[in-house]
Amino acid sequence: MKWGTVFGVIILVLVLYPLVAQRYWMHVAITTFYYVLLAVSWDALAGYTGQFSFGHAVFASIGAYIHAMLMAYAGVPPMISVILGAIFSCVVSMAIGAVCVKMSGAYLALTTLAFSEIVRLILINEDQWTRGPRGLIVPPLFKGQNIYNYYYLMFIVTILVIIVLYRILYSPRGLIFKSLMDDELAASVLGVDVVKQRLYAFSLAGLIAGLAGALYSSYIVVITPSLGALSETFNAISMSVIGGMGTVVGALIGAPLLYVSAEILRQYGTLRYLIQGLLVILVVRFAPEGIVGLVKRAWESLKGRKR
Amino acid sequence: MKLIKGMEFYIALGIILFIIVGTAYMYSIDPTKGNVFVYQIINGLQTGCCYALIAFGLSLVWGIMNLCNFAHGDFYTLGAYLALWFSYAVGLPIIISVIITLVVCYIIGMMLERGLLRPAQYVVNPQFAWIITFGLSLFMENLFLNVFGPFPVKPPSLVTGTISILGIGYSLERVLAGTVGLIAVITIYIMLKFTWYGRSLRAVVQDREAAALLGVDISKVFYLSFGFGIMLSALGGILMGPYLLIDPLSGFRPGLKAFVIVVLGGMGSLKGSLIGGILLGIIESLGAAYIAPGYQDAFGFLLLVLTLVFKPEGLFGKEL
Repeated sequence: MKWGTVFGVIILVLVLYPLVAQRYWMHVAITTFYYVLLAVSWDALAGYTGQFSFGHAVFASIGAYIHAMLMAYAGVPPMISVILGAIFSCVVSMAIGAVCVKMSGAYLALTTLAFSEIVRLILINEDQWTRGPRGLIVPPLFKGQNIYNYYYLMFIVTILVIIVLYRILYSPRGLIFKSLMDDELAASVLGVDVVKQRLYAFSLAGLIAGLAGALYSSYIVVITPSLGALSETFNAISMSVIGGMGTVVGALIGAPLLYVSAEILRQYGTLRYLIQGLLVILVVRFAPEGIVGLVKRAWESLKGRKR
Repeated sequence: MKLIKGMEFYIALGIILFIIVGTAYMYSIDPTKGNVFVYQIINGLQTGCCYALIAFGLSLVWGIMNLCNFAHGDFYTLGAYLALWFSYAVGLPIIISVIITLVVCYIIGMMLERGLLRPAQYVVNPQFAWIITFGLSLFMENLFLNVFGPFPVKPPSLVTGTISILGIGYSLERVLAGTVGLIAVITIYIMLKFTWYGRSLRAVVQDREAAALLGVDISKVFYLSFGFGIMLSALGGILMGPYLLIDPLSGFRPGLKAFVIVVLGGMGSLKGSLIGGILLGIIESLGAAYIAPGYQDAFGFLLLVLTLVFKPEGLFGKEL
């Protein structure tokens, strides 16, 4: 009940936010939504099923490029091409999941990392279609680049995605996912179809990342292969880790915290990435459960003292 | 003499045969083409020796500590930058600055293992240690950017000038790098075979618990080998830096290539690292010359994915 009120207030604030925000902070908010989607989908994959994908941002970039190329070259209507981009990213993600089905741990991380680099190199080199590092111009979703349309679109999509993820991850399916992370063999003995569930998690993460990438690409107008670079993946990972892995709320806290603070620190130039790296190291070193874990621990010790 | 050899023997044989047949074929078409082919092969061999060095550093850390060090490539950059700093800013002779750099990197590695990675309990849950090394990579790259600036610089080199191979000028720095790389690999081989440290390393790679039972101080081996791995990466940077030039992000590619080679050659295997390194070096330089220059790095990654899918234990399994 209490949490319901908190979320209601947050949603209300975000709905009213465009009334007071300047254009620049609108941009920050839209980018934050993008990172929330990226971090949340990475968390659903890594924090729940334990499959550490180190090439997650590339799924966003696949969604973005498919969306952009369908619109620019084939003249597909905007919303349909967004959905097609997301579905394509989902299929690719599932294929990668299928390739990685027998791998675990570091090998899976490396395969996804290598895959993301291969895709990035393809995007750079096949420049008759993707225009390579010069950047592909993405046709707009709406007539006239009205920032408010994009804000509300990203906002609604983020809310929907989070609701859907909650329904999935806080259901028996979420428990199945967690059982995969803890002990795959035991899970399979207890009747979990390991391969199916792993593919399910991969396709879910790919779908959300592709959707986020496609929507965001239309907003930022020009996309380059660096949309899927390793540093973007690391952004998503660090947001999820700092917030707290294995909790949907963690990414919701981590992404705004990290991205907004990065924007505030923008005046210090490249120093902010230094701070981000240091922050991740310190959080993992001293509080591996992230902010959510810290708050939970503090809350429990507070309750214990009252009794 | 055994008649049936290991996998690495056949692969090495295959590489040699390929080189001979390829050279003969190319010369039979056109002498100029043959020259270019030989040049590419030499390039591949030379690069491969340096890669092998970097990869063996990673391979040690991975094989012994089961820790995937994603910041491995950044120590390549660190080595080159430190050598540059010691020789230009401090003004030491090149040889001495290189030695000091290696010692400093060794100490940094040991400190990192003790202070940062061990408290994160990488043996129990390695995921957190990966994220730490990932963060370390970001931290180091931006530290370099802030300290040394974004522009490529040239670390000091012992030799300058070129020699002529088949009428094509070949940089002496590359020759030096390849030679020193090969010598270093041989030195490591001798060390692994005949010293206490090498023997305990091999024991830990084979079976951690059994080695501990037999009196090997595991925790000492852990931090010594982490320092040693990082030192090898730094040595790679010192050797390859002079002709590839160093900028804050230049460690990214060698680091990823080290992963490819480790997966190819198997964790903790020196022979695997050497043959995998040479294989990757030749594939890359031939691929760039004859298939598509833009995809030079993609060949390595493709090799990685294919190896992981079809032969996940690596080409040579677990053996030092």
